[in-house]
Amino acid sequence: MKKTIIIILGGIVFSTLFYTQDLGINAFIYSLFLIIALAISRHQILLKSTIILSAVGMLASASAIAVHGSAWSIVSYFLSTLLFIGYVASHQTSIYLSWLNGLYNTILGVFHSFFYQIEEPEITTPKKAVDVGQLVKVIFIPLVLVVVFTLLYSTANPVFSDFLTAIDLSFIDIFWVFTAVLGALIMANIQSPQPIIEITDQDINYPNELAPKKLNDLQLLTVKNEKQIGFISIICLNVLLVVVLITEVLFITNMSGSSKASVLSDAVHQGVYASIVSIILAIGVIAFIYRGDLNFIKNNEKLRMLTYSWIALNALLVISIFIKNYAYITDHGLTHKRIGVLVYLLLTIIGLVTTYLKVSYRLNFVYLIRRNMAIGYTVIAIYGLINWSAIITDHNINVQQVDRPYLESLLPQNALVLKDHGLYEEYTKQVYRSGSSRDRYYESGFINRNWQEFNYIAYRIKQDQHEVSQ
Amino acid sequence: MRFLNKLTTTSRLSVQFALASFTLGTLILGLYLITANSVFAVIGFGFLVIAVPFNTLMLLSVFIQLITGRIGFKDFLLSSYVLLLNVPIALFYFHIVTIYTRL
Repeated sequence: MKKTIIIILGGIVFSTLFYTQDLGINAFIYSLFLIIALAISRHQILLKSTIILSAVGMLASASAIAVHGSAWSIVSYFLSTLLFIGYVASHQTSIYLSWLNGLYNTILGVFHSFFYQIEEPEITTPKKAVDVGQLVKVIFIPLVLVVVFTLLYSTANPVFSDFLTAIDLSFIDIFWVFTAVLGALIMANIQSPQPIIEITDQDINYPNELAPKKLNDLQLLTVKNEKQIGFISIICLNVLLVVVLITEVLFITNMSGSSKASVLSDAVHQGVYASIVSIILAIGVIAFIYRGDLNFIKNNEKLRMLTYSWIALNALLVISIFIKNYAYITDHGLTHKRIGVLVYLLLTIIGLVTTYLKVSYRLNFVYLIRRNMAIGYTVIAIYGLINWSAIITDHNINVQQVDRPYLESLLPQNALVLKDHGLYEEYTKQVYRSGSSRDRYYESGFINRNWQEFNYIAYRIKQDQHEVSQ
Repeated sequence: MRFLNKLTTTSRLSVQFALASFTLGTLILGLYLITANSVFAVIGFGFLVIAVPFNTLMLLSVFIQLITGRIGFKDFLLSSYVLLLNVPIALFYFHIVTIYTRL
């Protein structure tokens, strides 16, 4: 009974909040409803740290949608919601599996007991077949008869016909009902999340640490050969990276204050693309070399030291890209891409630190994936909270590096900053904004919102207009 | 996934069929978005022309099996649900392609 009420309520709440509405405060209210509904069916969810953190992430990103509604806040909201559902299904699993569990429950949750034959399997007997046919007949034959006779009676009897005409069902919006059914289906799927048992059990029982094995002579020889190959390879890669870093230093020291935007742009973007590949490869090479027995053989200190130095050199490469990007920002202002580079550099440094920990504490490749994905998600979640368009606009106007077409493209997230600088009226003309009419910012459409679509920026603009008109 | 083995042949086939359609469709969309080559848009359209009647036939077969009592109601629900799930996904992909082409 409790389950049925939650499902029906889920459908009504979903349709009320989202039917023909843009995202706004509705995401936050739905998240609260979701937390309460899942807490009713699973009391223990309030006590698990992973569930609490993912719920906080979901609520925080939903708040960001209501405050500025940037694309990243929406991405973060969906990731957090799937993660929350996944953690309620199984709170001990790795983050990537929690997303999978979340997706599995959102789409196929109602069929979980069927997949795992938790309920008694349905035995298909001819009797059941007759039942289904009978059910169809019981519904359709009386329905057809009622419709035919209603038509006949309404033709024969004018009072009955008037009575039928007087029934006004226009208040029923069939699409609203359809959305409610969809919402109820989603609620039925997630009201009691269950994990994909096989892979969840496997993941929970998979440790982060490597275990030493007893090796026979042949295996020992193979590991020693691997150590030799790894040693020479890492020496070569260290030397190569030192040469690259020297050229980087030469480039940075020769960089003049008035460097051409195109030169810096190429240096930063190509540097970043190349470094993405090189650092991912570096982490891959290290993970491969230290995948097993090599971690436990004697006299591998030199190889370890070389690996640490390679990690440190990669960190220096990141710093050199940071300096170029910083110079680029100083000379030509902030953009989303340039902030994206900074985020990437931060993630790379974290990736190198986790790789160092992997080698140092003899951890396995799964540890790297688990830890780096969790950190990656955290960075995206925090990134989505901040209104970067407003920060970019404010910074670029303050340092007088205004690129009007770019700032126009950031509307409406930067609308309040433009207002503070007295540029809003001018920029909303969007003389430079390219693209089709769907990509343009329409003030009236943005500020005239229903309560479900509440957005702080839209609210402030509307309030300002109201004050001006008074 | 091992749990598929526990399903009846019809449900298993439907899930596998729907999964294959989804994977192929996603792959073609991904290639189109990465390469921006219109050949993949044509391939995607061709795939749709083949996948739609096949999925419809599968759905029809599932419905006939329910009526004739070969499968249970839950089997029918699962099979038709996963087969129909590709409809909104296809529409969403079409929407992405439209936005991407406009850009």
